[in-house]
Amino acid sequence: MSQFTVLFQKEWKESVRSLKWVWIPIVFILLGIMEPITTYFLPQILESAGNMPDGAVFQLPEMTPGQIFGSALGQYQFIGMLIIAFAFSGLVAKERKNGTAAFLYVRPLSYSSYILSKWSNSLLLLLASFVVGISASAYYIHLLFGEFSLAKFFGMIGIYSLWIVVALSMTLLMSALFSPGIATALSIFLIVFFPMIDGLILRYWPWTPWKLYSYAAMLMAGDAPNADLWWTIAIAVLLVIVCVTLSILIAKKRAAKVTL
Amino acid sequence: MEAALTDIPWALVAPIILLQFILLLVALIDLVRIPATNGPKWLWALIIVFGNIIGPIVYFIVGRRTQ
Amino acid sequence: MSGLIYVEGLTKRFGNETVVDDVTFTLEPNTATALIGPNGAGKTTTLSMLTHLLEPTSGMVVVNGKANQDFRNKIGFLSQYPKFYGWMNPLEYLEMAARLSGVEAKSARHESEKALDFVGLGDAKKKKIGGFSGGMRQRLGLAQAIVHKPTFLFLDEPVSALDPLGRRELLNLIKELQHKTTILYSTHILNDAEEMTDQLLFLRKGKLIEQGSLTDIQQKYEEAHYEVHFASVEDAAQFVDASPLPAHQENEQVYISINEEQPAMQQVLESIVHSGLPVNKVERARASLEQIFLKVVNGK
Repeated sequence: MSQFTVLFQKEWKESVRSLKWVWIPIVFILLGIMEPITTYFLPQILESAGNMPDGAVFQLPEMTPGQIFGSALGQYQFIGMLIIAFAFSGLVAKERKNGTAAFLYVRPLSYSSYILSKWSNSLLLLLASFVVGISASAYYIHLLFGEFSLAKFFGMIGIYSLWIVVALSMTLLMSALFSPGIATALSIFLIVFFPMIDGLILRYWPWTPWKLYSYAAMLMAGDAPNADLWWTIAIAVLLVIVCVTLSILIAKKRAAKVTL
Repeated sequence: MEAALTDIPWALVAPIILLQFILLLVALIDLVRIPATNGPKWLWALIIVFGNIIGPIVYFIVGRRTQ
Repeated sequence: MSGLIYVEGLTKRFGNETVVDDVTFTLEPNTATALIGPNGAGKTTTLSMLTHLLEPTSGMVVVNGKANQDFRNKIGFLSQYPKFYGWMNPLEYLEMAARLSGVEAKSARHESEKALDFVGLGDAKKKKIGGFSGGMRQRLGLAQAIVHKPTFLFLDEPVSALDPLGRRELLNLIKELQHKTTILYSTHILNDAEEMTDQLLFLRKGKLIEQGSLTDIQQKYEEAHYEVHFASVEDAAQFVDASPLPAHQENEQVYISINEEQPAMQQVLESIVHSGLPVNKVERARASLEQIFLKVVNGK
C-alpha cells in the first residue's frame, strides 16, 4: 500500500507538471460545449457565410436535447479517444524505453502498485474532465434546446464513463505489451477505429464493450435500458479486470526490456 | 452580414473563445519555459497559434520533451 | 547484515548466443570488485542478472547463504547513463527512491538529504533535474543507489561517460564507500579499476577468464623488466649495442627483459658498470593493469 501511495503521488505530480490537468479538462469542456452552440447557431453561420440565394428560407430539423447529447458524445468518441490513445499509450512503454523505469525495476517494486497507480491516476484525470465537460454541455443544451431527464443524464454519464475506463485499460495494456510507437498505433485501432466498425462486423452480437457509446447515446435519446445493456456492462467490467491484471503480469515479465 | 453577426449572443459564445485563448496561452507559456521540444520551438509556436484547438493539443502530446 | 555473494555457473543465452557463460565468483563482504572486459564481454548482462532485471538461463546466485532469492531491497544500482524524471527535483526523486526501497516515510526525507549532501548536491536539491549536467546526474545516480543504505552496490560503468573532472569526483565518492559496502562495478577503464579494487574479474566473450587480487594478478602476468635511464641517447644506443642482455632502446631509456629465475638486478647493474656509461636511474618496473589486460584478453 505504501508503494502505491508513493507511486500515485509520482503519477499525480507528473500529470500536474506536464499540464495534463490543465489542457485535458479544457479540451473536454470545449468538446462538450461546441456541439450545442454550433448546432444552435448553424442557420446564422450558414447565412453569414452568404451562400444562401436571396429569399431562400433555411429550415433545419428541430433537434431534441437527446440528439445533441448524442453528437456531443460523438466528439468524445473521436477526439477524446484520440487524446487517450496518444497521451496515455506511453504510460508504461515510454518509461521502459527511455530508461527511467530502470530505477524502479532494480528496487523491490510491487508491479500491481506500479500499474494501478498509473491506471487510477489517469482515470481520475479523464473521468473528472469528462464529467466537467459533459456537464458544461448539459448547461448549454438546457439553455438552447430545453429540458431533459436528469436521471437519464446521469445514466449516460455512467455508461460512457465505463467506456472511458475500458478504453484506458486497453491503452494501458498495449503500453505494457509493446514499444511506444506500436502501443499508440494499436490503441488508436482499439479505441478510435474499432468502435466505428464494431457496428458492422459485430452487428449481431449486442454485448461488445465497443457499443457502450451507442448505449449511452440511445439512453439519452429515449430508449429504456434493456438486458443487452446490462450484459454489455458486465462484459466491459470483466474486460477491464482482464486488461489491468494482464498489464501487471506483463510489467513484471518485461523487466528484461527495460533500458539501462 | 453585419446584422447576422450582431444577432449572435456573445455571452453564450464567449466561454468558447475564452477557453481556447487560455489553452493557447498555457501552451505558449509552457513552450517558452520548457528547456527542449521535439523539433524547433518556432515551429511549435506557429502550430499552437494557428492550429486552432488542435494546435495546443498536438503540442502537449508530441511537442513537450520531458527527459 | 553481511554482504556475501556467491555466484555459480551463471549463464545467460539469448537464442543460441551465449552472452554470459558459466561464470563463478565470490564477492566477500565489504570488498570492492572490478568487472573488467572489453565492450560486449557480458559485463552489463552479468550485473542485470544480479539486479533481477534479467532471469539467468542457468546458474545460481547465493546471497548470505540463500540461493536465488529476491534481494533487491539490499541492492543499490547505478548505470552508465542513469535516466531521471526531468520534471522532478533531486529531493523528491530520492525520497521516492528511498520509500520504494523500503525506507519508512518519516525517515525518508532525512536519509535523502544525507545522501544528497554526501554527493555534493545539497544546494541543488530543489532544482529541476531536467537542467542537470552529466556529472550532476551521475552524482544523483549514486545518491539514489545509496539512499536506502544497501548492503550491495552494483555500478555499471559508473564513470565512463564523464569528463576527467567528473570522473575524479565520482571515483572519490565511491572510494569513500569502499569497505563499508560490498561493491561490484564494471569498467573498461583500467586506471579506475587499479585505483579501487580488492578483486579483479576479467570477462571475455561471456567467460570469466581470470580472477584474483590486483597483486596476485600482477605477479602472475608480470614479465620482469628493468628500465635504465642514460644521460643521453647516444649512451643508450652504445649500451644496447654492447649489451649481453636482451635490450631495446627508446630515447634515453633502455628496457631489459630478464627471466625471474636469474639474479636479475645484479646482472643489469654489472652490465652497466661494465659499459662505464653514466646512468641517471635504474628501476625494476611492474606491469601496468593495462598491459595485463591486453595479455589476458588476447589470451596470451
